[in-house]
Amino acid sequence: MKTLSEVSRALSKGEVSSLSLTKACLEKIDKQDSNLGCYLHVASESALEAAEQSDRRRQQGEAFGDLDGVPVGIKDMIFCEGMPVTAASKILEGYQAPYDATVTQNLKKAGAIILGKLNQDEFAMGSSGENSAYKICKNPLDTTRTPGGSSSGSAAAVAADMGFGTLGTDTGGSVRQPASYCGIVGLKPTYGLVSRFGVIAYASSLDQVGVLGHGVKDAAIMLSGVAGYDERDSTSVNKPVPDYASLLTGDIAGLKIGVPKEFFVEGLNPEVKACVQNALKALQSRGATPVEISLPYTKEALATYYVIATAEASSNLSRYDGIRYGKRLGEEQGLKAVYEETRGQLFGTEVKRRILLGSYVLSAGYYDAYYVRAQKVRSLIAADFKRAFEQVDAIIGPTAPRPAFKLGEKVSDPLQMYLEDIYTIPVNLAGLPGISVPGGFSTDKLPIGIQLIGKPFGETELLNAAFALEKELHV
Amino acid sequence: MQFSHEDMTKLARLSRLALSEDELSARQRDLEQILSYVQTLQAIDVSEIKPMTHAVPMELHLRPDEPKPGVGRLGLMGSAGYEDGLIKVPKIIE
Repeated sequence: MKTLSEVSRALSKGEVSSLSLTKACLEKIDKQDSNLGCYLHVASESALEAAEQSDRRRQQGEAFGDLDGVPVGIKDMIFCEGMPVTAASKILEGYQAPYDATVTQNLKKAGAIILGKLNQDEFAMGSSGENSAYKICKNPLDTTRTPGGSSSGSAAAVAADMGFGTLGTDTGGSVRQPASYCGIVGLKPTYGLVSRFGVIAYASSLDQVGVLGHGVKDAAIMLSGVAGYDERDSTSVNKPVPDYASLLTGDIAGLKIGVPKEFFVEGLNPEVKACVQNALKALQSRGATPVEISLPYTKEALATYYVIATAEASSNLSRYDGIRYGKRLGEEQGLKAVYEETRGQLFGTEVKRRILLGSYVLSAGYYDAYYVRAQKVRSLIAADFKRAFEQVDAIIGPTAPRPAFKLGEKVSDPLQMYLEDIYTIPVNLAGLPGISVPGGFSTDKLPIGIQLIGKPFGETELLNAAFALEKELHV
Repeated sequence: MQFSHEDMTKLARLSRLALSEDELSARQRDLEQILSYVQTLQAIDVSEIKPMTHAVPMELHLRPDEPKPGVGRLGLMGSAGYEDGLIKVPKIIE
């Protein structure tokens, strides 16, 4: 198994060509993906062409940088010009992206090779990948289990060596939780660091593009490749983007690590708890100091999220009306039937559940009681973190309450499925960066992720703490 | 938290979703369960708290008013059913 940073170095030394790496990934996809279900669309032809171009650039001494020639995959929420883009929904079947998302454009400018579009839960709504309208994605480490979600394909593809790095989206944990389940690294940047232009919207005040790779350095290289100010995204924040990978020293002497007491309560699997405690010891052995902190509104985060995210989703998804995109049903019965039949028949169960809930919390008579109240509780949750970061430099906790569960185990109980995200959701509500790093394995040999949470736009420090943890744990 | 059949029909109409009777009653049960969970928020005193609308404080920034090439009308319409460069819709006035 080679990591993104290893192949990047091998490419720069001329030890390997982009064409051979791309062919190896495509062969792996060809042989194994009918079983795993990571990809919804494979762009073999354009990938091979781009790889040849990259090799030519390198031969002429004009290579672009760390990502030039590296094969990567992109979640199906994100536009890649000319490729199908469905968000794993039947309502967008047959729709092709008319332009590149800014993150896609940035990857192309960096010379990365785009292998194709990755499977996910429909419109990024789900925690197991099982809400894809096309096919279920399996965990490459145990194919009876979920790879996590909603960026199921993004995590599984990296774990199965069908791409050295991938892009996902993270609204409530959709990059970090699957990274944890698949034993890889997943980073959700600070809200505003990465452009959302050309990314299908689910819950706009929470959505952020994230990066996945085998190691922390891989995530750092991917982040430098996609981050940056974009005038086409009004939520984009103008901050300089450093070469994050070059700033990874692993030196964390004096770093104060917050340990929120509310994270270690009933419902947390004892093996996961032990793994987090072990990770904390590893950080201590490198000179970090643990500090007990309190995030009193942690237990209200999930309810807050399901009001805010569904409200925003019901509004964002109103654009799928049967007129402008993909398929159209009910035409012979008039315009209203086009809206209702197209949406009623082509949205999946979870999407309809969230649209109904969102319409309810926004409807007259309930708006203040649910939506505005949830926005106020969100302020309290964000204030918890702000207070904590006056005392500490980073916060540690589990990424998910337990290792990967069995496919089919939670599909009929939405609330149980939602509880998988209790540790990741507060981070989105507060707009902070969070990273999941492999912390060890359960007795069933399933990976367990450690979550580190950083200050707003503190990606350099956060990645460095994650790098120190990775170095110390050797998972 | 209880929903009547009428409440559900209204909600489906507001959401522009055609749902079968079976689906309506299944979603009714889901919503009752989820909203019971959400009720925990009602116990929090938020009287002095301002609502948070965005993850990070931000000001609206405008881009310079300069024309740039775009994908054009046909490009944006993608695979919508269109004729002569216009989107075709069912008759809306009888």
